[in-house]
Amino acid sequence: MDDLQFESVEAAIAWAEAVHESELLAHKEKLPAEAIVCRMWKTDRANKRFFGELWAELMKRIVGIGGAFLLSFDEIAKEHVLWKVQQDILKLITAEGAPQRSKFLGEKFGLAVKRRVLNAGRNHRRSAMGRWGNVIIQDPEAVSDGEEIERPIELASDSRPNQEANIVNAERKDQQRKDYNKALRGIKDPLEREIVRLHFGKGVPIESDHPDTKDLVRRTGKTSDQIRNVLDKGMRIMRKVLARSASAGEAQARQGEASRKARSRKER
Amino acid sequence: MTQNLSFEDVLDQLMIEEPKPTPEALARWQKRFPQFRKDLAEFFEIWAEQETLEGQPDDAPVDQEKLVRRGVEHALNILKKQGRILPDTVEQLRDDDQLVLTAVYLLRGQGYPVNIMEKVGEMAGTRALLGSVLMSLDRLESKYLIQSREINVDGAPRRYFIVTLHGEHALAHAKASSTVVARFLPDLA
Repeated sequence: MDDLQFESVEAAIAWAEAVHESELLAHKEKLPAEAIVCRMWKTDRANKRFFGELWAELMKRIVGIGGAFLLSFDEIAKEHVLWKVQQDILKLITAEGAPQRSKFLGEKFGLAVKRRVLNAGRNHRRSAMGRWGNVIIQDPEAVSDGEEIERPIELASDSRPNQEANIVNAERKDQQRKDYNKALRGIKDPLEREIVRLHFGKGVPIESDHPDTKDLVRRTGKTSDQIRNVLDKGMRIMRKVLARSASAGEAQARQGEASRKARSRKER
Repeated sequence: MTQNLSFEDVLDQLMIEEPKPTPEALARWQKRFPQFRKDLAEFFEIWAEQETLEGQPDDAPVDQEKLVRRGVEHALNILKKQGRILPDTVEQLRDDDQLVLTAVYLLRGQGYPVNIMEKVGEMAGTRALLGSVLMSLDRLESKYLIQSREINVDGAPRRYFIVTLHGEHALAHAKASSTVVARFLPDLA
């Protein structure tokens, strides 16, 4: 069985459905992802090791495929997008009636992941978090925070094509940083503001398995659900602040335009 | 019909039909799905951007191990909530169930009731009854020790059985108490 090879994905799916669970796990790395997905669909209940190992194998492939389609994203954005894709695929695998609704996943796993990654990347860029840019935002409050790792803006991923674009990008990033800081100040509760700043500004995870990682749960003593609520609430407040500021800016621009016209009429 | 599709469904179709994000392809899809005109343009934009970067080194690789660990933990939590994770403990099996489970294991996915019955007879040294083997298979399947799949053989459905990891745990316990099982499964840990 060491030279396990399949003529087609269908042959691999048929093989995966016909072997004992232990044999499937022993050869999981040689199986196409479609065969793993189909076997998971067929398994109503199993022990932790079976689901855990198969799911880990799928995750590795999602990260591998997905990472290749997120080259212009920074690490935090990539993690965010891949996490969304993982959750999306998990839902498709574990939901009732999943095989009927997501046949695509069991037939063209690579394409299914690619399209989810690209679409999640698109959604990320449209989101408030994405609009703050593909940069690590360094906010002024971090200066007094001795334990933070400095992540200067110069280290952010940069795929700038020319000098002109560099200037535009720099101005845009500067504006984004200002917007971010302004929106952040909209959160009145200092603890909530700090949680939002650490998560979105510095990429501190909500919860981490690694004992040395000072995640938000460990830092604040709150549960992951409480932190998610704070982040959602914080995000809503920040969006409101940004929307208010955008409409105020437009009004100011209109007013400026009107006075400019009035001046030019007067001069004539 | 195409009007009722969600954007996700449209993207599934698009990825199958279009190998590259060309402007012509975008125009075609925007014409087909005018309700997603803007979304399609954004999708093609990011797709084209990533295609141009293809093959370039990844300057900001993600921590794969961390993402996988987090994902597995999350997946297992969901499966646990759905009641789909079996307990680690296995109950003691009846002697006849032990033999049937051993036979299913030895037939490596090719076992169906008739050849399982023959295998049980061979192991026990006496003729086994199909009825009792069928009852035993049902009991084992209800305990998630084995899993069946139905295949059409010469126009008639036939149930084939495989052993689950949970079933292998049960066999390992059975091996400790049954000399017959131990004789036929010398390599099972």
